Amino acid sequence: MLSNKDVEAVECFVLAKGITCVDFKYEVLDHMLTDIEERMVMDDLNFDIAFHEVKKKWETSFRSTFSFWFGVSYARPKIVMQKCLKLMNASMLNTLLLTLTLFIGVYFGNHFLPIKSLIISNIIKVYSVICVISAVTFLYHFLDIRVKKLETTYSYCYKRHFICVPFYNFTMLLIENAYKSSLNVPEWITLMWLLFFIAIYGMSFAMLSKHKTYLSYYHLQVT
Amino acid sequence: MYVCSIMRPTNLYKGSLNTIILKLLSTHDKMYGYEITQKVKAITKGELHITEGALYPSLHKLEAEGLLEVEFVKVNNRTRKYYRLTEQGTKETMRKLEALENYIKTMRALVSPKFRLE
Repeated sequence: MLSNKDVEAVECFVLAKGITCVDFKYEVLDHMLTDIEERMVMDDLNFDIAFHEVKKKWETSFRSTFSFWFGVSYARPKIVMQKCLKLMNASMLNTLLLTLTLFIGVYFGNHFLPIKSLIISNIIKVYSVICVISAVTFLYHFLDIRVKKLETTYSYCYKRHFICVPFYNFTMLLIENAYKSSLNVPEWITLMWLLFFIAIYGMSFAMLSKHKTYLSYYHLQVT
Repeated sequence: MYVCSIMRPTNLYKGSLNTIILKLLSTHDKMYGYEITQKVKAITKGELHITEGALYPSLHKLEAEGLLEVEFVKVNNRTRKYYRLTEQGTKETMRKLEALENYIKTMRALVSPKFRLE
C-alpha cells in the first residue's frame, strides 16, 4: 500500500494538471494510485519509476486543450474538456428547442392570451427585470461555487458560459433603449431574441441543478 | 497487439465501447474504472486495451443516461467510485448485445463465403 506522502504526491500532480472537478478528480486519482500499486508489486518497481510510467500513460488525457465555447484562456485537460463540450452541445441544442417551443407558444397563443403584445410593448421593462434577476442569481451561485471550492464539470460549464447571460441582457437593454426606433427590428426577431435568453437562463439552472445533485450525492456517500 | 481508444490499427472496436462496459457490469455486481480496463485486458489476453481517455467519458455518459448508478467507497486512503447497472441499464445491455450479435452475424456472412444467414 502507498504511503500518505506518495498519495499526496500523486494528488498534487493531478491537481497541477487541472483535474480539479470532483467528478473526475477522485476517479482519476484512484485509477493512477491503483495502477502505481500494481506496477510496484507486479514489476517490482519503486514508487518513482512506477509513478513516472503512469504519468506517461495519462499524458494524452491530461494535455491542456481549449474550446471557443468557453474561451481560449480557459484551457482544461482534454479528458475534462471533452465532457464539458458534450454537456454544452446538448445544452445548446435544448436551448434552441426550448426557444422554438416558447416562441410558437407565445406567438400563436397570442390569439387567446395577449402575452406577445404585452412583452413587445414593455420590452425595455422585460429586459430590465431579466437583467437584474439573472445578474443577482448568477452572482449568488458563482460566489457559492467559489466559496465551497468544489467544482464539477457542470459548474465549470455554468460559470464559463451561462454567466454571460446578464451581460448579454444588459447589452440588449442598451440596444433596445438607444436604437429601437432607428433599427426598426421586426417584432418576431425581438421576441425570439428575448425568448432565447430566457431559454439559456432556464438551461443554466438545469446545469446548476446537476452540479448540486452530484455534490449532494457525493457528500452523502463520502462524508 | 497494442490497442488505443480502443484499438490502434483500426477503429472497429470504437463503437462497441459502451456495449463492452455494459456487458462487463452485467456479469459483475459493481466495478471501478481501473478494474474495468484490467478485466478487458485479461479477457482479451491483452488484445484490447481501453484507454483512460476513452473509458471515463463513456462511463460518465452512461451514468448521465441513467444506465449506470454510482457508489463512492472509502478504500485505504482514497475514495473509489464504483459503477453498477440500473434496471434500465440491464435492459439496454440486452438490447445492445442483441444488436451486436446481429452485426457480427451479418459481417460473418459477408466476409466468410461458407457462412449463410438463416
